[in-house]
Amino acid sequence: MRTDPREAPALIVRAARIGAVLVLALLRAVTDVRGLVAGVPPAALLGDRLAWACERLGPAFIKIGQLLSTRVDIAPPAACRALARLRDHVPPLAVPVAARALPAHLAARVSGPLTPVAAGAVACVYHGRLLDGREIAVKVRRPGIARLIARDLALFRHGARLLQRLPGLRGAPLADVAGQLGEALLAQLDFLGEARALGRLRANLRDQAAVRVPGVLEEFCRPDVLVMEYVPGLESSGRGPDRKEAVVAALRAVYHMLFVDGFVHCDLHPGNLHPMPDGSVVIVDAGFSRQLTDSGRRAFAAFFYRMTRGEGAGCAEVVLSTVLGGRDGHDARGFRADMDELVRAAGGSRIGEFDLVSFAVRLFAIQRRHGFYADPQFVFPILSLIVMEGTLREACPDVEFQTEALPFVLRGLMRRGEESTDP
Amino acid sequence: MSADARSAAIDHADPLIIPGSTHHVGLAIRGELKLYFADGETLDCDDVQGMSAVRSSDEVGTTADGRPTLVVTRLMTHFHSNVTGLLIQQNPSRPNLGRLTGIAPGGPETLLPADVTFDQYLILALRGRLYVNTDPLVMEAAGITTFPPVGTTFLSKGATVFYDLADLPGGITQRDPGDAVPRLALASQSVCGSHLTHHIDMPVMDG
Repeated sequence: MRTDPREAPALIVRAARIGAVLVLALLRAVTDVRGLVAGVPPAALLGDRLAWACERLGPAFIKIGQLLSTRVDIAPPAACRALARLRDHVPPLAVPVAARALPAHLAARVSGPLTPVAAGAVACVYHGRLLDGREIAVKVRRPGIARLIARDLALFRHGARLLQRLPGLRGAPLADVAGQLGEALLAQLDFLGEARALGRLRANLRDQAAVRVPGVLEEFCRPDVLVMEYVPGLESSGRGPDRKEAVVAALRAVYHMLFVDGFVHCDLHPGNLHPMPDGSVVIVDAGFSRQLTDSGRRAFAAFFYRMTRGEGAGCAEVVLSTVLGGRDGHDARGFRADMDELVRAAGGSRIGEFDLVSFAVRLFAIQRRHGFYADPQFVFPILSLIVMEGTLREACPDVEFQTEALPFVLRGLMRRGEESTDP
Repeated sequence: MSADARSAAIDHADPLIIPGSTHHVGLAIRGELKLYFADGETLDCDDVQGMSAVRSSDEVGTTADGRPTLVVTRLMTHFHSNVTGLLIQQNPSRPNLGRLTGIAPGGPETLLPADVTFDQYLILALRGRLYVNTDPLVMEAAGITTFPPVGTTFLSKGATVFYDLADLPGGITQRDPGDAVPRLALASQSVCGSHLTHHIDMPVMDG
């Protein structure tokens, strides 16, 4: 991306501020004697200070921090846990400002004022009613936010490339990671893309009776405005006697996405997953979704199939069929042996007994140790499960996750779809 | 002497009867045999019954931690579900080998109690099609105290996928499915107990 010369002074000022805040965060992390004496892992201290920096640097960094918190494949788990506390605590856009952002043909059909129901760094959601009586949820992107985020992402990528040249970081794929995070963040700014993703999820999950994805009113959507059916009760969701039932329904929906359809909502944190009092679950905010290739979907199903059979060697073969080549000196035999041990040692078939984060961290570490790079087609499905692991552990620790997965894994293995390269 | 009387005379809890033994028993399996299809349909076959035999090697080995172990072979004729029409036969091109391993260290006298596992290669006949597995259907029982392990719960490890025989150019002898897509899967996730309906011992004839 080429920079407009007129923006150079502002970019320099912004870069200086980002640099200053990040250096300050780093200094605070390495000089936190109290934390180190208390036995807090250095990665957790660094993650905590990084979260602090993101909060001060605004929406782009908050979103990047949130995305990074799910990437146990590239960041230490302790740092990811610290970053996971990043939430958008911002006031909603004033209603008149939001109302001005609505397309004219929508504004003309809205009856009465909008009511704010949720506010984030990038967008706010309002409850409204159409003249025909339908209740709607309107998601409005904050004015100017796309430009601010694009500017910060450009600086972020430049910074990553510079850091990659420093001794000790040479060879680290920082620019690739920055590129992936930036791509995911920009996708979340495109509400037409999110509208398509919601429509696909709704169609794919139509047979899952306990799962609800709000319908999209496409005729009113624009890149900065998303209009959906309003689902009452989302604000107070999460409680009720059937919470466990609802969360298990969500788990089945994710298995369906991963193994059968290959179209995956990668961001099912508690804010996007609403267990309802009647045991159903509502899934929202599909801005971070991924279409797996058909071969990637089948490989992930095959991996899970081999896992359920305790076949470490079989798991290794599946992973080897997906890795993006090996660097010089890669060691397939050592990789197979370590994978065999990993799968044998992976105890516990109940959600509360199986540590998915630890398993994933070891899986990715084994790949790196033996000179292989994981294919994102294989990484994103695991990350999508990790994002909802906390909810699962809290709501249904005694559920047999492999037993729940089995029907979907088998269907996935038996299905051959169109090979898609659509990201 | 009737077969039942002879059966009663054998002490099935005596581990020394195991090496070199042949037991032909009628088994009534109860529990869930579940079939999964590509379109999401599942078929419960909980009335499967059939004939099975277990033969054990007369060579008792020793595991690295000192426990006695020997090879066992399961011979199936057929198992059938009246309700669903499912017919299960052994794939004649592959043996159903297994292993019995005593839980305690020692010689043949500690072969019981034992853990048993069988790798089963089958032909399923259902709705006019024939299906075979290339991964073994692994059946396991832990801590059996009699042999043959009548009345013991056997569980399959996970599920096993099956291929339409028409999709495998090598037919029942094909070991690697290549690009073939599995057409159904079989899992036995609950009790797969059995009881002895009859017992025929096979005495060795001298001379």
